[in-house]
Amino acid sequence: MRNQFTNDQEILEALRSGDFRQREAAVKHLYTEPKFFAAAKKQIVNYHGTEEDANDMFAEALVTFLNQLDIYDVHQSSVSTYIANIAKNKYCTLRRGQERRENREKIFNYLQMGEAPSPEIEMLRAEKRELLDKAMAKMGEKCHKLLTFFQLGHKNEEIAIEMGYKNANVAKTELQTCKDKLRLHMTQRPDIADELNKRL
Amino acid sequence: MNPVYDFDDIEDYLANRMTAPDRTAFEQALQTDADLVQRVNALRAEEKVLQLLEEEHWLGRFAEWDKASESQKKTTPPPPDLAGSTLSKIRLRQWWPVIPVALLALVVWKNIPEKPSNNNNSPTSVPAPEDKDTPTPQDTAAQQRPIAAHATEAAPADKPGTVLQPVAPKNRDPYADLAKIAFREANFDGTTSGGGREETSADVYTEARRFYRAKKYDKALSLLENIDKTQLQKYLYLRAYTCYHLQQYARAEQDFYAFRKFTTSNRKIDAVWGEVFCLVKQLPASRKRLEEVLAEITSDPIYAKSYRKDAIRLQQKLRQK
Repeated sequence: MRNQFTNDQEILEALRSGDFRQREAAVKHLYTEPKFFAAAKKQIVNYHGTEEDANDMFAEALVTFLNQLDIYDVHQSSVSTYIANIAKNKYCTLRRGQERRENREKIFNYLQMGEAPSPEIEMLRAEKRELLDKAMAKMGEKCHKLLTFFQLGHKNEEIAIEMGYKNANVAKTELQTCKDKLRLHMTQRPDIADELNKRL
Repeated sequence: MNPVYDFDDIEDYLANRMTAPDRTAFEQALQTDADLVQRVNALRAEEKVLQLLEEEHWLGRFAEWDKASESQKKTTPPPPDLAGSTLSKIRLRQWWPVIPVALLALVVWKNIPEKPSNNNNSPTSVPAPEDKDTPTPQDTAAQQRPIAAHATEAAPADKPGTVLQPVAPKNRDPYADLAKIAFREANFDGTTSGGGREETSADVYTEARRFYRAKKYDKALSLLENIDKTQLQKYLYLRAYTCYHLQQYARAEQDFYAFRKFTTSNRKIDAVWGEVFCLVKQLPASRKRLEEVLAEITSDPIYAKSYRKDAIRLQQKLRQK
């Protein structure tokens, strides 16, 4: 990929900008530029993790980093160090659970399998997927898309184009309807809300 | 009387945008107003849902980018015989100092005329000069990953850079009787697939199951490598059995073990027993872990009607070994 970002400041500006395309380009840069992955991998390998673990943890750490943009301070640590530390912490948390069941040997077994994905990660993601399915059960595909666009920071104009709406006002109204629907669903189903709050 | 708080107020509270007195008042209201608590929880959950949506989006994008940049992999692929694992590389490096020593020892041994054994050292047991200081691959491997022992010891193919592919022992297996007691074939006849989704004939899982039933385990496994995460449990279960039949016991054990993490599964108990018969196949290296799992089964009442008796029988047999 062409290197569009020369330093952390530029990446952050893109991530914090209201322009989704810039944001996506920055995320893609973080994901594909080897130095960010290498920093995370170094941490994971220091903790006896495998490259497969590093891959899994890097993706998870990157998503977490995107959610922590408002608290991240570029003057305290570089983006690569920050993401690597998140990856390390996530890996240690995962390992602590595994170690309780003497599961380190299982990681090693999986390492021997080469390409096999970590079932721990598969499971965590499947559980999250299950939770999301429950929460979005009555929302429909349209709201799923609209809320995702909203969360990703798309402007109403962009949402209108993506969804094929006439203009930004329609997008705004549709989005508000979906937000209300989600809020109502979470209020009417405290069991699901509790599960989300406890497990995430 | 508590002030009436609307969702905007709750948002301000959650975002820490309230003044100290307002916040105190809000928290006092939370002590007595169950409806307010419910609405706060709903709003917190709403935030989590949005985060999950974003996570889902990015993970999807990462997968797309991975696909698109197949040629620009993050790391140079290792030579085929290294199987791509970091530890394999480490282990290969650990072999290097030993190779000249081993060759030297072989040459010396070949040149020593056979003589009557008047001491306890056979030619092969004479240590090479560097033996005390040069760790053997097994020594260093054991120091670096002590608890991986049962997987490595159980794997005849555990040479540098090889993928764990246990092969059938050439000699008689002293634990064959235990394996016979332990193994339970699963019923993959299609009526108990679970997972909550309708299957179609084009379903990958159904196809894999068909291969499994036809004992074409290689083909079944190739279909099961990419697990459909929406049907994770049944894929894992079938893959565990498939790996078992392919003598990939450590991997099968791993897939069975995964069921412990599921909050709900009607296969949990059977999967624990699956761990048992996989561990039996990895004896003697897996003995410690096997004893633990058997102890768990014999002490936990949930196994009373299923595997408890068999576990006790296995424990007795194991003690005789």
